[in-house]
Amino acid sequence: MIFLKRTLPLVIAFVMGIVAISIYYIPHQAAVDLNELLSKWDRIIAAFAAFLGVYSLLYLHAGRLKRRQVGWGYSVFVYLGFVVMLTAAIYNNGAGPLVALRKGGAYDWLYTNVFVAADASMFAILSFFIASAAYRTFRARTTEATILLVAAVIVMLGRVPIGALLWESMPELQQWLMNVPNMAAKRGILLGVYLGAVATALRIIFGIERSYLGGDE
Amino acid sequence: MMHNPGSRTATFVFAGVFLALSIWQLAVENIALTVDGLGILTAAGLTLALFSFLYDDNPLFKIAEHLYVGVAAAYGLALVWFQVILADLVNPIFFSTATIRQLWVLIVPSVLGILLIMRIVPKFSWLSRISFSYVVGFGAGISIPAYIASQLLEQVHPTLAPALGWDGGDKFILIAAMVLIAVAYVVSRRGGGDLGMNGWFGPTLLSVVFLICYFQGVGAASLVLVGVVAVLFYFFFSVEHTGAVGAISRVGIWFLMIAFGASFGFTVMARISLLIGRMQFLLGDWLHLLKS
Amino acid sequence: MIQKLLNIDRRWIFLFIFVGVAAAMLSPLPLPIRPSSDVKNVYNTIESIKGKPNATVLLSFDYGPGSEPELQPTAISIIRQCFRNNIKVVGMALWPDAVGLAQAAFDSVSRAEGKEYGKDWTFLGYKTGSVTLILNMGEDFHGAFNVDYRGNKTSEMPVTQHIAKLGSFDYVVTLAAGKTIDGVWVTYAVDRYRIKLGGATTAVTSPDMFPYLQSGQLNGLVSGLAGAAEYETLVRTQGSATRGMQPQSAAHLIIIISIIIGNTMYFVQRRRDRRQSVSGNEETRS
Repeated sequence: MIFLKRTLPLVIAFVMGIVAISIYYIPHQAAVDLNELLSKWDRIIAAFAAFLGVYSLLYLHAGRLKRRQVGWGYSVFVYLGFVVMLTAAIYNNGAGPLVALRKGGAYDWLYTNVFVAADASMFAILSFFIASAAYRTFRARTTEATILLVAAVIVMLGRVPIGALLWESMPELQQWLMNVPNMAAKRGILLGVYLGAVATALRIIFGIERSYLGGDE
Repeated sequence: MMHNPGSRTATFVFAGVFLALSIWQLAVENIALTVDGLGILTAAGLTLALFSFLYDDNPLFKIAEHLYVGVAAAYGLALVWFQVILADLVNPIFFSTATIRQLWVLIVPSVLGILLIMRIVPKFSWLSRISFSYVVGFGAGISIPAYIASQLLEQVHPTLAPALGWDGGDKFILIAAMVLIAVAYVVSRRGGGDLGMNGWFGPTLLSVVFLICYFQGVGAASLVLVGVVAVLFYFFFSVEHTGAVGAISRVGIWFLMIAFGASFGFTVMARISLLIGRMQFLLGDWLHLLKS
Repeated sequence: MIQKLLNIDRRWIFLFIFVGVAAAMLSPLPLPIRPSSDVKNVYNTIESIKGKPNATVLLSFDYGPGSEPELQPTAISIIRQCFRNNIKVVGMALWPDAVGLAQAAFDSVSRAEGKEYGKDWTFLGYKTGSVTLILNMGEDFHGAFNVDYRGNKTSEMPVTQHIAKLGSFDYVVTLAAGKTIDGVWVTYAVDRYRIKLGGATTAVTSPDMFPYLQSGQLNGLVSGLAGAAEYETLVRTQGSATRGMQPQSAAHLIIIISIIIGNTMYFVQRRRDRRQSVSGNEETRS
C-alpha cells in the first residue's frame, strides 16, 4: 500500500518531469506528438480540479450553516447565487446542457448584471483605500522612502495627459524611468525568481519537494 | 452586526439612495421595466451595496458579496462543463464515431480526472495523488527548459549585448562604477566609513547621473547593467553586505526603490481606472447624467 | 489641529476622491492624448499585416470584470482596427471570467463594422490548463480547440480553417490582468513557437513587462486606461478610455496634493515634537 500511496506518485512525477524536459530538446515528430498528447491530458485533468474548488466552497458554507456559526445567514446567499446560476446554465436558454452555450438567456444576464457588476465593484473599492493610504502613510521618512515617493509622483504625472500640460518633458522622463532604472530592477528580481523556480522544479522532479502530495503518509 | 450604529447607517443610507434614484429613473422613463432595465437596476444595486462597505461593514455588503461568490462558482463550473468536459470528452466519446485508439486517448485523462475528484472521499483521497503527481511533474518538467531559454538566457543576453555598441556615456559610467567599487573596497579594508552610502550623498549623486543621462540621451545600457548587477548583489545573501559588496547592494536598493515607486504609481493609476469604470456605469447607464 | 488632520477619518478621503472623480466626469474638458511608442508598436504591427492573404490576429482575453475598464477599451479598439483593415480576428480566453466580456466586445464592433461570424471572426471561449493549452495550440490548433464557443467546428469555419498551429497567426495580442504575458505567453509560446507577441495589461502589471519589451520578446505594450486612450486616439474612435482620462488626471492630482499635504504636516509636527521634547528635557534639568 505504501508503494501505491507514496512511491508511485513520486515515480510518476519523476517520469513525467524527465519526459517533459526531453521532448523540449528532441527535434523529432514523435516528440511533438507526445507533447501534444501529454499537454492535452494535462489540461483535461485540470478541468476536473474546478469541481474540487466548487466542492470545497460549498462544503465550507454548508459547515457554517450546520453549526449556525455567526453570520451563517449569509451562507444561504452563496447557495442561492450558486443554484440560480447553475439552473440558468443547465437550462441553457432552452437548449439543455448537452449542446454548446446558447447566446442570451439567464446565464448571460446573470453574468453581466451580477457577476461583472459585483466583481468590478469589489476592485473599484480598492481605489479608495489606496488613496487613503497615500495620504496617511506615504511619508518621506528615510532616503529610500524619498526615492520611492519621487518615482511614484513622476510616474503618476507622466502617465496622464495633465502631466504633459504641467511640464512638456514629463511623459518622456516617465518613460525613461520605466525603461531604464525600473527595467533594470525588475530584471534583477526576475532573474532571481526564475533561478529559484528552476531549482524548485528540479526538487519536485527528484522527489525532494513533495508537499503537493498533501498529508504526511 | 446591525447593533453597530455605523453599520445601520450604511445599510439605510445606501439602500435609500438606491431606491430613490432608481424610482426617479423609472419615473422619467430613462429606465424601463424590461429584462435590460432590470439588469441595470440589479447591477446598480449590487454596486452600491458593495460600495456601502466604504462607510462601514454592513449586511447589504455581506449579502452582495456572498451572492457574488455563489454566482461566480456556478459560472466557472458551467464554463468548464460546456467548453472542456462536453466539447473535449462527452461529445467525442459518446456522440461521435471515434476509433478505439481515439477513445483511449480520451479515457486516460478522464480516469485521472476522476481520481483527482477522489480527494473529497477521505478513504480514497490518496488516489488523487496519482493525478496530482502527473500534473505537478509534467508542469515542473516543461517549465525547466522554458525558464532557462525564455526567462534566463533571453534576459541576460540583452543586458550584456550592448557591449558591442556602448556610447561614450556608457563607457564613462562603467569606468566610474568600477573606480567607485575599488575605492569602496580599499576604504573598507582600512576600516573607513560608508562613503556616504547611507546618507543623502549617494542618492543625490545617482539622481544627478540619471538626469545627465536622461537629458543627454546616453548611458542607458550601462545603467541597466549596473542596476541588474546591483539588484542581484542585494538579493545575494551568502556574503555579508559590508564594504564593496555593501556599497553595490546599496545601489541595488535605490534601483529597487525606483521600481517600487513606479509600481506604486501604476497601482494607483489602475485602481482609479477601475473606479472610473464603475462611475461611468453609475452616472451613465444608471443615472443617464453623462453625455456619450 | 495638525494631529487632527493627520488622523482624519478616512471616510472623508473616500468622499473627496468620489466627488473629485464625479465632478471631473460631469464637466468635460478634453485633454490632448499623445500615443507613446510602446502603444504605437502594437498598432503599427497590425497595420503592417493588412493586405496579406488570410491575415489573422489572435486575441487572448486573459482578464476579468475586475479590470474591464482598463482592458475592454483596448480590446474593442484592436478588433476595430483589424476589421477596418480586413484582418481576421480569432478570440480566446485563458481566464474564464473574460468570456462574456470578449463576446460583448466582438458583438458590438462586428455589428458596427458589418463583419460576419465564422468568416471574419470567431470566439473560441475558455479552456483549462493555460500553459498546457498553449503547448497544445502550438502543435495542433484544431486539436486544442476542436469547436468554438458556440459549438462550430474550427476545421470547417473559413476564419480558422487555415490555422494549423499557433505559429500560423500573423500576430498574437494578449490582454492580461495577471501573469499570463510573462508566465505563459513569453515563457512558453514566443521562442518555442516563433510567434510575434504584443500585450495589453492593467497598469498594476505593466511595470513588470519592461524587461520583455527591451529584450524584444514583447513587441509592444498598451498599459492600463492611459494606454487604452492612446490606442483609441490611434484608431480615431473615442471611447470610454478617452473619456476616462479627465477623471484619471483629476484623481492623480488629488492624490499627489494629498501626499504633499500629508508630508508637510508630518514634518511640521515632527519638528514641533522635537522642540517640545528638547524644552521638556531642559525643564527637567533645571
